[in-house]
This record gives sequence, C-alpha cells and structure tokens, in this order.
Amino acid sequence: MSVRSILAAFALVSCLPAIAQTTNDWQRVAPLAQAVNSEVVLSKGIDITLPLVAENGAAVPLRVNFDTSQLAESEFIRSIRVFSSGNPNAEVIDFHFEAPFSRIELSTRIRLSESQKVFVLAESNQGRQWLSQRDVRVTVSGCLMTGDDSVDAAVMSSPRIALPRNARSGEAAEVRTLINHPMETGFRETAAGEVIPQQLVESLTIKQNDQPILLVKFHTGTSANPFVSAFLDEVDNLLFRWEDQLGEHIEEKP
Amino acid sequence: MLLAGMKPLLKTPGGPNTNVMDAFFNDHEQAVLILGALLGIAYGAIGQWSRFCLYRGIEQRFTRSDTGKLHSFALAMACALLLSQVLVELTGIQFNQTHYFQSNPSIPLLIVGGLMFGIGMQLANACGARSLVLLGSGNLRSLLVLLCIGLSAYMMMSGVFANLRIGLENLTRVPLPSASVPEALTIMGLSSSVSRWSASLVIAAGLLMYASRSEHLRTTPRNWLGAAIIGVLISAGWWITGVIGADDFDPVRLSSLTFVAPIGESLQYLMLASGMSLSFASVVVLGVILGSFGRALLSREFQWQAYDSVGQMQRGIVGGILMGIGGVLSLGCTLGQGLSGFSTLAFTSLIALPSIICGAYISLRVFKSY
Repeated sequence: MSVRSILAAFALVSCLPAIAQTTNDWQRVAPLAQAVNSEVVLSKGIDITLPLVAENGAAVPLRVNFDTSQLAESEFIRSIRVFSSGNPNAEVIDFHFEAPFSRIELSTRIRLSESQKVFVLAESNQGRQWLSQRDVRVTVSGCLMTGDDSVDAAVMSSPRIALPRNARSGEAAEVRTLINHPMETGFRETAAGEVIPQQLVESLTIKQNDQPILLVKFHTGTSANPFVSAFLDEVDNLLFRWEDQLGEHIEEKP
Repeated sequence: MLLAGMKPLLKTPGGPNTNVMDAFFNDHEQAVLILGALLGIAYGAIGQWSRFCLYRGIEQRFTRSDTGKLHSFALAMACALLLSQVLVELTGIQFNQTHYFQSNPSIPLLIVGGLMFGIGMQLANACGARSLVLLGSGNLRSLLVLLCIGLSAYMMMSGVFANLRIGLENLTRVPLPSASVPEALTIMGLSSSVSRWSASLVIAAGLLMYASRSEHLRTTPRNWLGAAIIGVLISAGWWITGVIGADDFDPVRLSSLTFVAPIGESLQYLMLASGMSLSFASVVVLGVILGSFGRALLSREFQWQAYDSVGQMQRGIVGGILMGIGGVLSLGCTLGQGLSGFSTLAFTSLIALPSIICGAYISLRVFKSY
C-alpha cells in the first residue's frame, strides 16, 4: 500500500464519525425527528445567528434568516420552528406564517440550559423542508452574585410594540414586540424545594386587517418577557394578541 | 437654546426612542459603542496626563510623602459621587440595576477579594486601569499583567473555578435589609431623595475636606483637574449606558468604568469575535489604551519598557493573577468599585474599597523590604 492510500484511508476513517454525526444529530431530538416528514431535507438557506459563547443561558439572542430566493414560484414559508438538543424540553419557539412574507428574518431570545446545538427547521407550503444547526457554548452566569430566587407573579403586563422608525413603502420593515411575563418553565424550585408550577405565555398572534398573518408559539425554551421581531411587508392596521396558559389574553395595537 | 438641546439628551430611560442621538447613530447599541470608545480614549489620555493611581497614593501614604495622589483619588470619588447623583436626579436612572446592588452579597468573599486585589496591585505596581494606561505609553510589563488579569478573571467568572466561586458565594451569603446607604436611610423613614442627597453630600463633603488638606493637590492642576475630570467620566459612563443605552426591548446593562472583567472580555472578544458582539466594557478597554497611546506620543512620553529582573516579572504575574481573581470576588477593581460602584453608594463598594486599600497596605508592609 502506498503512503498516499494509507493517508487517504486514514483521512476517510477520521472523517467518518463527523459525517455520521451531522446526519444523525437532529434525529436524536425526538420532537424534531417527528417534525421532519420529507425525504430530502435541504441544508442550505437558513442562516442562524447565535453567540458562540453565551454567558447568560436564560436569554440568548437568536436571529433566523431564510433566503427566500430558494423558493419556487407560488411557494412560501409556512413555518419556522426552533429546537434544542440539550434542554429538558426540546421545543423552543415556533413561527407559523399564515400569509407569504417577502422577507423572513426573525429575532427572539431563547433559553439554553447547557452547551448544546440549536436546530431551525423551515417548511414551505409545498412541503419542502430545510434544516440548519448551530453550536452554542453556555458558561455559568457572567453576571456575578445574582442570587435572585424571587418568584414573579405569572401575569402578562406592559406589552410593547415598536414599528420601524423610517419604513419605506414596498420594503419589508422590522416590527419588534415584547410582553412582561416570567415564563415559568415548571422545572424551577424555590429555596424551600417546592416546584414552581409552569406558567407560560402560549402564543402571540399578529393580525392584519383582522386576518392572522403570523402566529408565534412559545415553549419553555423561550426566555422570560418573550421578545419577537419580524419583518412585515405592511405595517398598517396591525393587531397583536398574546394568550397565556390560563386563557387570559392581551390585545394591543401599535 | 442650550437647554432645549439638552432635554432629549437627558430623556428618562424607557421613554420614546426619539432624540438627537438618532441623527448620528443607527441605533442605541451603536451609540453606546462609539461613545464608550470615546469615553475610554478620554480616560486613557487623562490618566496618562495626570498619572492618576490609587496604588501610588497608598504607597506615598505609606512612605509619608505628600504627592497628592491619595487626595486626588478622594477628589475623584467626591466628583463621581456628586455628579452621578445629579444624573440620577435628572434622568431617573436606577442604580439598583447595577451589579453593585446586592441584597444578599457574600461579604466574606468581597473582603477576601478586595484584599487579594490590593496585594496583587502592590505586587504588580499598578491596578488594572493604570496598567492599561501604562501599556498605551509603551510599558510592556503591563501587557503581561493585563494578560494575567484577564485570564484569571475569566477562570474565576466562567472558567475552571466558576463552580467553586458560585459554591463559596452561596455558602457565605449574608442577607442585607438594603443594598446601599440611601436605601438604608429610606428604611429608617426618610424620603428617597432626602436620604440620597443627605448621604451623598455628607460623604462628598468629608472626601473634599480630606482632599483639600493636600498642599500638593491644591497647587498641581495635573492632580486636581485630572481627578475632577475622571469623576466626570464616571458619571458620563452611567449616562452612556443608562440614558443612551436605554431601550424598551434591548436595554444596555447599566455600568460605568470598570476594568477587571472587561479586560478578560476584551481578550475573549479578540479570540471569538466571529461569534460574539462588542460590548461597552470592551470598547472602553480598547479606548483607554488608544487614548493613553495618543497622549504619550503627543507629549513625547512614549517609551518602551520591560522587566529588569526575573523577580520583578514573577511579582507581575502573581500580582496580575491575584488582581484577576480578587477583582471578580470583590465585584470590581479600584475604578469599578472605588469610583463607579462608590458613586452609587452601594454597600458592596463600601466593603470592597477599604479591603483593596487594606490589601495594598498589608502587602507594602510585608513585601516592601526588598
């Protein structure tokens, strides 16, 4: 055997685990494996922006871009779903589009309990799926000495909506929203050892002219005071409606 | 006219996001970064010009010579305190959002950390902020000290010793009824603005009286003017993060000049820039080096310097490591706790600063025999 073939064999063997891993990673996340239903999952087109190292796993800024030039004519993105490989509950946040969006760029803040992978799955109305992943290393809190065990009242309050400052017509513009709520996961305990019951804001619906255009579903992986930003093609006649687990809701117009 | 222009600059946090800053910057984050860099440059230049240094002051107190350094630190404390409290009055920024306000801090770790920082400062011959200024003027000894500070600070904060630190913190927490002097006075029945101003004025008056006793300080503008400007820069830091950085959705964390963790963060940024964003703290660190470099060039004081002996280098390394670890445990350095934290009148600062001074004094006693 020549030196070259030995080297080639060695290179192949050392690459194998890497190849095997990238194809299998997402299949180990059960809710994600269930959500993937197409034979071919496309890997290019989703751009995930996350910090390499997060010092505060309770609120890691996440931005997802989808390259809409990949879509066929009359094809549009139906949903973008975010999963994590290491959280107690893999589901992080889901965006369901009820109408075609010309620019898919979403931001939110997510919870990551440890260093892990974050997956983003996009699906079009024609059933095509895209999957992308990013590694995030989560260190213990860089905020020093915040021994804060307080339990906030699990009530939605002070919803905020910011329209773009200088929106040009015909161009999608970023709309940002936030509502105050502790988003209790049900995994946390008080100092006395009692489990704090789960209390989540379940969803945010954005309606335009009384028609829902974007539905955002929050899970335990969404940070407290859920923040969502999206690029909307029109910013007139919008209505934002948040609903929590208790069936309470808040409606707000910008 | 001037006042009309000032008003949007002093808008309350969380207010509508329309002010004159919008004309110059894309968003509040960019504004904070650019103003933060300018703040750092200003500190670097002033620090290089005035040779502002708490450690020199303590050393001169120890050798009983009056060069006004300790007095000028007291003057900077008084200026920072008064101006920061004026800023609170004008803009309503909330100092209880800073990490200096802790309702159950680990007081033993604050003291131990302060002592370690003080000893490290004596061994390395300068604190973190002073080392940045010295590096800008060509002092390569400071480069090694800074690398040691940054590395050991992050080892303690999120690295190999992080879990040990958190465990020790949780073991030694002491719940306090209030987190600062004004809060304590409020609990005793005074209104919040009366308690804030009475505490600030009494403490500032004491510091000013002490500062004015130095003949050297009064007659040397380099000392008193430098110290006063540094006091202004502390409150400018609060203004940048608290007013310019205010945002309904993504507010910048309220902070001012502080150097231990930011030195580590700047090193981390150099290594991970593709996956992390620049922060106020790191642009300040960069600015200080640049500001000092610029002023040293202009005054022809730039000069390459290095260690003369192995022993000196060893003291620099040990000093840097002690400052990094101690600075994290005590929640700040001479600038972070001594000026920024002090200007909020938080109890953690009032514990950490005397500990730092004690540490330096003890170290002078023990090691100054060489």
